[in-house]
Amino acid sequence: MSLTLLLAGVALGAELGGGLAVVAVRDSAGAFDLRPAISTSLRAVGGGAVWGDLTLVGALPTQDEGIAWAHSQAWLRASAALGLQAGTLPARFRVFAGPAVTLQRTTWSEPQSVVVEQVLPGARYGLGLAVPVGDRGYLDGSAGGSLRGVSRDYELCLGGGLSW
Amino acid sequence: MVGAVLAMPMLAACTTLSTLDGARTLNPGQQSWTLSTGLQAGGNALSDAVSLPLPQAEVGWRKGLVDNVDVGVRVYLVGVGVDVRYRFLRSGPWHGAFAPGLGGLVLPAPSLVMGAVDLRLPVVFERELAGHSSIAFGPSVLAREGITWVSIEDMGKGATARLDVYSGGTARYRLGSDFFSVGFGGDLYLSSARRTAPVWSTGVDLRMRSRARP
Repeated sequence: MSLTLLLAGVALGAELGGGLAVVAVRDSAGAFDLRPAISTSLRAVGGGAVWGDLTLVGALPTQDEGIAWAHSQAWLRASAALGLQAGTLPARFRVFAGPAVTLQRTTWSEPQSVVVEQVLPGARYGLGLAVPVGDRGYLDGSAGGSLRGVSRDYELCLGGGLSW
Repeated sequence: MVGAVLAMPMLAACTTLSTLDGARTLNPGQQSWTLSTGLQAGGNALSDAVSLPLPQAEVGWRKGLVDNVDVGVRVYLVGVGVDVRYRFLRSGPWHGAFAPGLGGLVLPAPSLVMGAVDLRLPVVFERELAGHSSIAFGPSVLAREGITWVSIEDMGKGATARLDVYSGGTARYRLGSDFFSVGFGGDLYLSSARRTAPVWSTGVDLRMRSRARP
């Protein structure tokens, strides 16, 4: 059953998707550390050109070590984005931006065992392509960045989902 | 060691910064060839080290796959890249395209293997002007993962990797006919690395297009 609504002549649709991501996070030495992540999103598409979504991205923990210290860090980021899309074919080019908040958990193992949890405001932005597959499916890829407090990360997400 | 020294000049231009193509995709079956030369400052280890612009040259080939989509291959000093260009906007004289691409090269040398993988994400807008000329411009992101594998006798093996992300844009003016044209332009990027100067490239290209199928 189609959940697409026709409201005042504007088609509203929904997409539920998820995927795998690679997140580049700057480590204490100033270099970027690539770490795997998982993303899921709920998207509302209206009017053909405008959409908005709620996205969760979770980065798996990785180690960062110095001479006399070591810690691992994992985070979960929630973002709400407003996007634009356009296409001359069923595939859609998309850009998006919006606020984000990150729950970050840092576990220090040296010089002593400490766990620090922080809630960091920020933003998330990017661009990508969404390609329909069949009647209800789609594949999408996006690249962009996000702010996690004063830290800036880069994201590359590949995934897919279902649309109504 | 000698191989590594010899390989360094080859790495001088292992990443091209230029965005040769505008937003107008080729018709299905149509092909184009592009010869380009120019200068590039930064964006690779040697140019960063000597702080001087270095020459760059490349050959590009494109072929239209379907309406609004074409594919391209570029060979430059020293590297190879491929991309798919999707014209997502076409409105009167205005065109907009997204052309994600991958590039890079692996250079083996005794005791040392250097490689890089580039991910390019240019978004280009092009406006047709009178007399078969056009201007193209737009933002672009270039992410490059450089990897060096080292194997030294008595010391073992190791590898280092470094990700650089460049954010910037391109601007290009093209003059000519549907089948032969000359382009002038440049690209400017800021690096994600701390305390680094902007990197740029500028150059000229010659392009030949085959006739579109009727």
